[in-house]
Amino acid sequence: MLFNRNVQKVFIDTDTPAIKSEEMFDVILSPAYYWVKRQSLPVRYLREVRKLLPSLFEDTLPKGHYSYTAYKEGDSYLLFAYSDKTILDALAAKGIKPSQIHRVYFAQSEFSTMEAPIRVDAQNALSLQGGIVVKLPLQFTARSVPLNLQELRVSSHDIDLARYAHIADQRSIARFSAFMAVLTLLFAAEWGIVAAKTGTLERKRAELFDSYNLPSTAIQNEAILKRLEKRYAEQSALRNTTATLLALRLEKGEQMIRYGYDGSRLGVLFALPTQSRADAVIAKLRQEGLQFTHTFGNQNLWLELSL
Amino acid sequence: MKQINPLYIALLLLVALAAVTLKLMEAHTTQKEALSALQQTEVTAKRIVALQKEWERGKESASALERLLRSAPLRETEFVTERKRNRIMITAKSIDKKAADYLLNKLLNNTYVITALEIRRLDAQRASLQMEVAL
Repeated sequence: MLFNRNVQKVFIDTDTPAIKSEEMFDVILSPAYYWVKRQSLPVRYLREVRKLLPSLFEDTLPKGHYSYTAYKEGDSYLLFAYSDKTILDALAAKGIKPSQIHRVYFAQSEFSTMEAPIRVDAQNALSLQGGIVVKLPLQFTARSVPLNLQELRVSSHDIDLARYAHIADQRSIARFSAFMAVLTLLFAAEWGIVAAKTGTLERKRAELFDSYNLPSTAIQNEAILKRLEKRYAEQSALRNTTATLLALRLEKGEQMIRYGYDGSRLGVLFALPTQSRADAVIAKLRQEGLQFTHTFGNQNLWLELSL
Repeated sequence: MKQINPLYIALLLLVALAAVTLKLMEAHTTQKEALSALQQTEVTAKRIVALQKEWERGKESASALERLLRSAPLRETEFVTERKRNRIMITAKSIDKKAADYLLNKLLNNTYVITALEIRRLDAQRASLQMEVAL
């Protein structure tokens, strides 16, 4: 179908030899690959019949995963059961890859109007028995005509093969898909809500500086904060150091002669009579936690502190 | 085969769910970061405003300083004030011990931004003073 490749019709039976071709195929399956029942049912619509199919085949089928289909013919329904995996495996064994399958039909739907038994190979023929297409050994048929697929006009009763039906049935997959679709929608909706909230938070952040009459960018404000923090630290250090220096108990005749602060360094000059008194003052100030350099000469102690 | 296999749809939905879950987790992380940034910004803004109120008083600081220099304990002292764009230079060639103590006490116990201060002892009762206060 893809790239307008030619579609060949092929009849597949258990005895069909392997096909070596890359063509696309409309596959007609031998009765060996499906179960069929003709039944009159007291239901009006085909969809109601489909719901009943598993129970109608319940006693007929061996254990396994099956797909079902049905269509109406006259006053009765033709009911089918088939194993997707068995058919796909059989087609693969005959050299037909899934990508080569165009449509799949049952022999029942394609040969139900046969006028004479159809010879499908040297030993077997398809025959109508009570409206059901069956495969019979050739010797049980009176006269037969050869199978002519070129002349055959296929019906609209093609079937879908579920490739992974043996893993999970269609209903489970549908439920799982629906669950995931709902979950995906819920998560997508939550994603939208969260994104909108994030947008609001970012807008609030942009408006926040404005509400405090501050510059609009975080970088500018970080710089302002850094400058103010530095000023606060320097002024606090100046006040604490000055308080410590002024609290120093000097003896009679000892004085603070000079106190000078230039914005980063603090210099203090004391008049002290002896080196030992200078050492005592230095020790006391160190004990108070001050860090400084000092020189002593001519009865003057010079302290220099970095703030 | 003409129909899309339901298992492919289930797998596609699984991939879509994984992608949306991933995006949702990313969105939650971004939201947390945005909230944290907002809180941090608010803290920064409040801190700036508080510090500005204390340490960047501008004209208010200048007028408070002028009132201080005119106050009764300092009335006897002759101050020379020179105001520049964002600072005030104050000089007193001679200030007595009591007035100097009062002035220093007021300056250091308030949030004046002292950028320079020089006090030299003249004698047992007097000193000279030079200082610069930022506005």
